[in-house]
Amino acid sequence: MGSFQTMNDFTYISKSEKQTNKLGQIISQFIGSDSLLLLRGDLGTGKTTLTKSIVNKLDSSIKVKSPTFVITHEYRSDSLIYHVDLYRIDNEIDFYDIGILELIREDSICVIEWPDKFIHLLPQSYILVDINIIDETSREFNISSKGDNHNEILTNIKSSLHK
Amino acid sequence: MLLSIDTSSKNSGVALIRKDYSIINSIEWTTEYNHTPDLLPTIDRILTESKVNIANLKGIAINIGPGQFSGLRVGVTTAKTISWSYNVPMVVSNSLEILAYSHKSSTPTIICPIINLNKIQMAWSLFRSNDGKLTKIQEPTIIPKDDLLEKITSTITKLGYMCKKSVIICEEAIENLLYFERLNTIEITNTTSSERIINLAKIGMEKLNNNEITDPTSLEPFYLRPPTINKTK
Repeated sequence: MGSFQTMNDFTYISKSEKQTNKLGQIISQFIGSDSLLLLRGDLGTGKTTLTKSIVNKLDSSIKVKSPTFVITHEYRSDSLIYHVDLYRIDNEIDFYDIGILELIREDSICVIEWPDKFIHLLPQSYILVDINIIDETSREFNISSKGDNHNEILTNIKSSLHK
Repeated sequence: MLLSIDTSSKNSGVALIRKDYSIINSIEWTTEYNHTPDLLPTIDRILTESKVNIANLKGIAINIGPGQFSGLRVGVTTAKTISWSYNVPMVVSNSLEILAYSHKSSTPTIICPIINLNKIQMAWSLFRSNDGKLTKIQEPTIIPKDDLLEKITSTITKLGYMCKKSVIICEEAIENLLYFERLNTIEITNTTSSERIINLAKIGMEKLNNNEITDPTSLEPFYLRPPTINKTK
């Protein structure tokens, strides 16, 4: 899927897991129910690690695991969070038949790993995080957004990170 | 006596109806994406309160969807299990037919039921009603929310000349109603969850009386997909 540019797109370089946690915690501060977060990156780039820091900022007692095998995890705290992995879904029929679209709602935060194949079938309002490996411990996060709600969240994340 | 079960949305219900279409009892409840813990106890409650033995049911009616992914699985599985284990004939209806049933009319009417599937998709269908009967003129179809207004406007304009009246009927969700409020030539209405569970009971009893029985072993929830998708490997 082609990428898109908004004025707010930015890049965050993390040199350690601690700095990745900082990014996750800041994202966590600004997302809320009705947020859709898409995480793109190869195996081992840290999509689940980033999800962990986002979710644990909301509730540190939640055990976040990779949903690759089970496709969807549901975490309940003050917020309802769905953690989805589309890696193993390889056609649109399965995408529709397992009810993913039902998890993207006004009353839930939805984090989707490996959204690429189905990005055009999702609501066109989201935050997209592209993760690239620089070296063993460093990561490049390219963060962009689509849709008014999410553009606003992105602005807040950006200004909070650069404080 | 027939038991109807609807777990297709957060407004769930069960009802008991007699052969003469009188309602014995109905119970509704609201659940957010968690139908399992409530359904069996509620079925037990309605049967106990009405002093009906489950083995004496003459029919079981289920709404097979479209609707909530998990809710439909829970309802359909429960209905199939009761039907198969007690040898109770099973009849089915769908969410859109259940909505349309509230507007069966003696004067010619076009009825357009709509339900919300998720943030970006809705399901709709078309019926013609006359002499108190409903005739389906369009199968349930999925449509992007952004296209619905135009599609419905053009369809009803095309069909409207045959009928004195057109009705768009929605679930309770207000957003659906707001969506259509500027179409003031068309009546826009909604149904309550208590209306819907009773509609299902009545449709079920009609189908049972007409011997339109469904095989419980092969029944699956009715999920709608966009028509244009292809299986790509």
